[in-house]
Amino acid sequence: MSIIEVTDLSVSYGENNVLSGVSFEIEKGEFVGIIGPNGSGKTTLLKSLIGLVPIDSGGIRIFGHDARKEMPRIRREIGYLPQKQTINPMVPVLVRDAVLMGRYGTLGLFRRPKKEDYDAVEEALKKVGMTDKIDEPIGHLSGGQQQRVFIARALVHNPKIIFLDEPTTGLDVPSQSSIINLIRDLHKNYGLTVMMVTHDINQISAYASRILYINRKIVAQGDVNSVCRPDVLKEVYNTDVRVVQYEGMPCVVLSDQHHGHEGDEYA
Amino acid sequence: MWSSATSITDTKVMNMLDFLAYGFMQRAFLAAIVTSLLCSIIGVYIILKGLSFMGAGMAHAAFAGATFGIVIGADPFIMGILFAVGTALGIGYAGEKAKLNMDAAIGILFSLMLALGIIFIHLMPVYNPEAYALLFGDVLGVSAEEIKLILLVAAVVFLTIFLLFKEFQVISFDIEFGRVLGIPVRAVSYIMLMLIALSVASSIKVIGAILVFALITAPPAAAHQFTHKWKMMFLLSAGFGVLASIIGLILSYYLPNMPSGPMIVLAAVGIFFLSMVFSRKKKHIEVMEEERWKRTENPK
Repeated sequence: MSIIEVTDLSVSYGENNVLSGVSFEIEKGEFVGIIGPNGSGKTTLLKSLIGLVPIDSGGIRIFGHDARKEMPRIRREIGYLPQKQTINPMVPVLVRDAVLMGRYGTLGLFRRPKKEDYDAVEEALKKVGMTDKIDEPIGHLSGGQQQRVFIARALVHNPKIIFLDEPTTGLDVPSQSSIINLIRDLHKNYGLTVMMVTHDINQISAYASRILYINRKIVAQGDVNSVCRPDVLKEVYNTDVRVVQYEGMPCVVLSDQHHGHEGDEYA
Repeated sequence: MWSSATSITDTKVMNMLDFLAYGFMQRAFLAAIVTSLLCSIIGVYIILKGLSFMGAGMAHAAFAGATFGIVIGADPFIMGILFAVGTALGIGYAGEKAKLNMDAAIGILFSLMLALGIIFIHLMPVYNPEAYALLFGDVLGVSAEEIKLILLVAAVVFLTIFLLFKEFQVISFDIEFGRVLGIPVRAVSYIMLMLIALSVASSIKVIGAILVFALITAPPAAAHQFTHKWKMMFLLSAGFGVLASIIGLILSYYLPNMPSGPMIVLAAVGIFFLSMVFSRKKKHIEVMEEERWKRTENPK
């Protein structure tokens, strides 16, 4: 059963049309990678699904709820990790408090957090392996650790879907791979439906059940093997790329003058 | 032996506190303590959100409003609050539209309000010392009526902070995430601006439109040196603010011919310098946070 249904979605910022005629469905438990060049509307797509960007036309239904009318209910089902962390580092906040803020949306105005909210914070930090940092000031954590805390904040209200917008951007390579492993574990162990925007298709090709190529519209979609092809990639990025096989998975490399011998030409 | 020693100490304390026997001194203490509580608590949001210049702008608007009130025969306290709240709404709206550089806009408004205030003073038919007191504060001249108004404003501000404590925390820490949570970020931000306006406007009689700047920044900045905990920041800031006002008042009482407003400011700034000397937070942590801030701003 589809839990996300998007039909003929169009979004624009003023005169600038960012997305048009976007339609897709996402099944429960899928791991969907959203890929496209800068300015292609990937972030806008995620934002429109949780009501942060108004839509021009088309329909969004999540768990059967209409996004135009029932956004508060939809938000309860979705955890969201924004692309750029916008925290104010001046603010003195412990990891516990930062994660607790993820419950404020469901708590509602004027209500104070209760024991169940604090329990949920501990549970979410356990999921991301940060239990021992619960009483640390958020400013004392490394970039990768902070990202784990923000993922915990996105999970603390126990959503069924998580939207991740370039979760590894700005991190060093070991932290990138540990965040990707964490996301894979969350998907596998907790049955979360994952929609993840990334620049790096190779990062998720081994885990994603489906890839959505976006460039203001859906250019292609399908499983990794069917869409990770030079002809499709050329259409998305408007540049030549090569696809090689690495450990049984397609791996995208930028074309250059030197044709290497490290793998077989895929197509 | 014991009893006589105790009684000598008691007498000394009695002598030191004998100024509290005067009604105007009791009012001064009450006014200074409530004002410093207001400023130091709302000041936490002001310094964390980088709104101190805006707070000073509102104080000058309150000065213009109060002097305007004296000219037209209206209540200066109420007119000061109206001007400050109006300015808060105007600055908030301009910030939303972001068609101009906020820093410059507040600077222009700041001097405009000061100029207007002084023009209104010159429009008064007779010299009115109360008007100039609005610039530098006159805690000893606070009337019982004004105390009631300050207490009323304090009640409104503290009750609102109590009710919106978690919403204010989110918009201070991560306003974008507030939107994700479905918090009415715009309304909450405007409410915060209005609380700032109310707090500084009701403080200018006690501390002065120019000096209130120190009371909204120094206590929270000192508190920031000592804690990583959100609630502790408020408690420390409130404690430093009240301490500064008590020290300032006692100094102005015992030192010959010393005004109370500047003494309170000296005490607040002194506490801030001491906090820097004795801060638990190590320098390198601040540097780390700064670098991380740059990184989150420019992820590439």
